[in-house]
Amino acid sequence: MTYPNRSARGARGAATARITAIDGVNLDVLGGETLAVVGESGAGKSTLAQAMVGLTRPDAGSVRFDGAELVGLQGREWRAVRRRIQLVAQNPLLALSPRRRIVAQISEPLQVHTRLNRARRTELVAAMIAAVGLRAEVLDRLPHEISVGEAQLAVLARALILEPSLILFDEPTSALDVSVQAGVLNLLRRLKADNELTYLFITHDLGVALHLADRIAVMRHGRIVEQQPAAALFTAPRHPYTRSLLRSSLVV
Amino acid sequence: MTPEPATPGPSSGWTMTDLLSVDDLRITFNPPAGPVRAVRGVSLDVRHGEILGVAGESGCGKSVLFRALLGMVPPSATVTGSLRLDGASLGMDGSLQAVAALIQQNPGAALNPVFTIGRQLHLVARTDDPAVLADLLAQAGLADAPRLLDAYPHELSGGMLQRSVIALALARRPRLLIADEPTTALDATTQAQVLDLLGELRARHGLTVILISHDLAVIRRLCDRVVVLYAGRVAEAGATADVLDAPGHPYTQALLESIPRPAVAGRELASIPGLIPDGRRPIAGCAFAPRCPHVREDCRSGQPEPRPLHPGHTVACVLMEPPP
Repeated sequence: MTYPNRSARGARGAATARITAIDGVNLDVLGGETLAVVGESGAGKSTLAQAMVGLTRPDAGSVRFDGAELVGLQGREWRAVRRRIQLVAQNPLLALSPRRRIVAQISEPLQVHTRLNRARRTELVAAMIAAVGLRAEVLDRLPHEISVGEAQLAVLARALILEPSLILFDEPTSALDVSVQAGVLNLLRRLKADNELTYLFITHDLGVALHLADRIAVMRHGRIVEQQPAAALFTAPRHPYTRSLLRSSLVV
Repeated sequence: MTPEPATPGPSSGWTMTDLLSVDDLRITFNPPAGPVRAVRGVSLDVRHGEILGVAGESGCGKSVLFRALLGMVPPSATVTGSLRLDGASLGMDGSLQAVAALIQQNPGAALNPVFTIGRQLHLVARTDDPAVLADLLAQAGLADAPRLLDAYPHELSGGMLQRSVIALALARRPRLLIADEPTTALDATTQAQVLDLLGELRARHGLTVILISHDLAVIRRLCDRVVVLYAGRVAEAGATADVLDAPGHPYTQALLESIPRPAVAGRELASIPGLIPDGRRPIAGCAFAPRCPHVREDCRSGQPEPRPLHPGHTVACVLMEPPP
């Protein structure tokens, strides 16, 4: 996957270069598993997630979901698939509209994708709020009136409300304090066990990856350099880059 | 250091080994909506040539504390307490800036995007001798000075930017380096290198370093001692290994248990229920009491004062004493 990009000296827009962000990635996410994708900034982790929800279009290759090709899918067919794949990104304050109450934002996917009436939507939102452990008062607040941790739980509630089968998490706890992160990670494990979910979890934090994932894929320069069951990656890393990542990750 | 007697608090008044001594620092912001108490009585000592970690989560006051010492809070804020440098009283009007340099989380924001690195170094070092500037870059671990001096910030990687900021800090010949989350924006491999650099600077130049971080693994890697803040007060302070291996304060214990690490992989993590206290409301008793698993009756009355757990290791918790 390449992007048109202004080159360093192209301030007038004349010179452009292309940056290859993802270069021949083959990755299978198995139904019901948690696959963590780890790597440093610029590895292409986020671009990978964006390609999976149609936010960027790959130059070549295919993204298949439940057997169906997603690249090039449009209109009603795309929407039918898209409601089953949700994205939770790093910064909840960018993912939420600053001017709308939390209740309206969690309810919005229901308005887009379903014909449920208002009463039923309110019911589902209330149930979802409880499921992610948010206080009911949060519903009537604006994003800046709640904590970042609560805002991320609201984003998670919005992602879950259509009962998706695959959730892509892109550094969902990187903006949170560790004590708050711990609660969110515990919640993600519980939700997955209770709801037959599949997770693709992008993180730079190997501790988080090991904690949540069944398998871990290591990305570097747009390629997957290694994938292994989570515990094996820590005990028997094969690729030199994985070994250097493990060496430089600090432990308490 | 001779073993300290059982004095209250990590600040036992100025001793020969202290570079900086902060006593009963209180910082209150005064927005129109009403006062917000950000720091509520912090006392701490920074010893000559040590690397002191200041740990805590968002909102604990760790950044604003040192900003106030450097005179970097708005004039409307109320700052009280005392500050001593080498035993001499110092105002909190920015006088500390004469001997201290601040390194912040986002190196891109600390550099001027339209000046080359060389020009920015020149402005701070007050010389354009390329050898002197190259030497500053080399001390910050940057070789290839000719290229870097002509480079603009956007041409450099995050790690190189942070090293450039460190070179700028060194150009002022500080005695004290205050590094506020200096590696939080960096990748793991770069982070380890920049932390090593701070350690080398201490060893080579006898610099004293204050490392402010939310990341206890970073603190562990570099710091001799650590002060753990919660809700604008010191919860626990002591040698890094003492505090992180055998924490005495329930907050430090909970914080450590909430970190995902190989030993607890796949298990439920300990999270801390509830939220940090609202700085707009007065806090009666221990600020951590509403979230503390060991809370008891006397936690709600009176703020716990730091008590020694071991020599040099203090914990501000009533559990240090038998129940009333």
